[in-house]
Amino acid sequence: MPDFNAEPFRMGAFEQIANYRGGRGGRAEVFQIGVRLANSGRIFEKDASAGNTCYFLRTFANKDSQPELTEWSIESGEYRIGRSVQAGSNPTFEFKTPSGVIKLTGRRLRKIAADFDFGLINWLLDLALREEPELPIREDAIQREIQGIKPNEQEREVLHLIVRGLFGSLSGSVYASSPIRSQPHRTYELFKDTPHPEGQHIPMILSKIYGHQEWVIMKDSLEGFGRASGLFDKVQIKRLGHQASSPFQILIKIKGPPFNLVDVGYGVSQALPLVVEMLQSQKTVFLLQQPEVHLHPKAQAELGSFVASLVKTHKHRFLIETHSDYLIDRVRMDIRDKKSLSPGDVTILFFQRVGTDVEIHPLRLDENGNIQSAPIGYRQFFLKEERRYLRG
Amino acid sequence: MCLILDTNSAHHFASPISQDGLKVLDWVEQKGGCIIYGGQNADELFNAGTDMKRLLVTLTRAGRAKRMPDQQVKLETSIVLATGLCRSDDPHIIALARISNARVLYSHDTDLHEDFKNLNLLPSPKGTIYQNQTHARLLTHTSLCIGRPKA
Repeated sequence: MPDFNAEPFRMGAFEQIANYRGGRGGRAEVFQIGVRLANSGRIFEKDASAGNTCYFLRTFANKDSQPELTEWSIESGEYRIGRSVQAGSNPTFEFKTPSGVIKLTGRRLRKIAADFDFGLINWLLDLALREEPELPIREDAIQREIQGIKPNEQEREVLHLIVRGLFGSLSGSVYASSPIRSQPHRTYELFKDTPHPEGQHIPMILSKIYGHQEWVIMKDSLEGFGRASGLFDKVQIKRLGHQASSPFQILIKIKGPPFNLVDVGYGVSQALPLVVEMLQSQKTVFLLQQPEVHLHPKAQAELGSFVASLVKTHKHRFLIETHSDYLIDRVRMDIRDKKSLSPGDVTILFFQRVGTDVEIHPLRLDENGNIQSAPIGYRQFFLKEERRYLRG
Repeated sequence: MCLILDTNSAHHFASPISQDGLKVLDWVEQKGGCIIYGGQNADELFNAGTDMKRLLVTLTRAGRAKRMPDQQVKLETSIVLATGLCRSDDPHIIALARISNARVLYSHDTDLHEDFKNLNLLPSPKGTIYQNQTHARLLTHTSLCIGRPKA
């Protein structure tokens, strides 16, 4: 069950999360969160009717002002796996293939976790697809209903592949950053190095690994980014004592002698936590809010290249909220110049307000880095500004 | 159709923009029109003044202008030249149209007009020439255009 108020996202209660359309009856009773994923070629090869896109949708209702998961579904072409609950009854799990539908229901299912879980789905899938007409004794609190024909071997395999593909895409530990990173300090003391959205843990991480093998591994990439972005040439740790736990300072070398982190441009202290986190973290999914804040255009652009390169070298995945044209331009150019990403690796999500709703348009790039199929309204503000400028 | 700008039309997009240029902008902004540029044509447009350059950057970021790869334009230009059919000194414009399927040209060069409408140089659909706002009806897309907006 997702925590809608985990740091750095404080989305509030159900009423704040769900869209209010105004007027009487404008309050939403449910809201949905969906993910669209590209299916692996193997699924399409097994059965073209599975399509090449998989949709994972979760529905939340209002329970005491908190979102409660009521339904979820995975849909891929003619295949569907879903959980639903009718008021006052037991949950139903449905497995649909082109041949038919298998439904599982029963009081035992009420006790198991409501959210999508790989182990759970596999267990249920196994129960649903059993050849025996009766389920095992220990599962006697579960009823099975088969509509149409039971899935054939190929369809069973497709169901498993869809679940595995979805789980593979959604798994991975997540680091979410705040839009503003913590203030730099002249001197640090070793405290916590557990990940924090504002990057307060990064100085401790740097101090811990400085001079060790991890530092050697990270140094080239970190300082490579620093030089390319024009933010710094070298990063050094100066210990104010002989103990590993002694206070320390972060020194930044640009040209000439090193300066304390607080004495160089603010952009350095804002970029450093993100860059270090991306390079050393065990996390694989990064949710970055406006990583460009306080960075000059050159550094914003370089951040685009840096992120793009990590997708290839570290297999990281990124969801970036940005207002930076420089960052997006650089990613587009890197695609065009075949430096790291392929066009299929990137989607630009354009949020467009329509009345009281917000429509999200996924925009793709072509192999030349051009934006494809932009809706009318995309960057309308900039087009209007340009027109006004040209009118003289 | 997607539109190609000949360098001799660039001054129509300098501030203050001409009425003829404004019609193109209307089409691009309100009807999902798209400018195609690339290769020598891109270099010439970028050197035609800061307003033109700025406009192309803005339109490209908005997905309303698309840049074709310089190498591809160059290669196609040599193929166009090899036909020996070009009357104008702008084979790169014909090359750009061939690789992008853009079939509307904003130009005041009569030799290039002939080339652009020559079906032996530029296969169907036949190229059309926009010269001023009375030709605004030509500013449309076909199913071949790579810059068509999302429905």
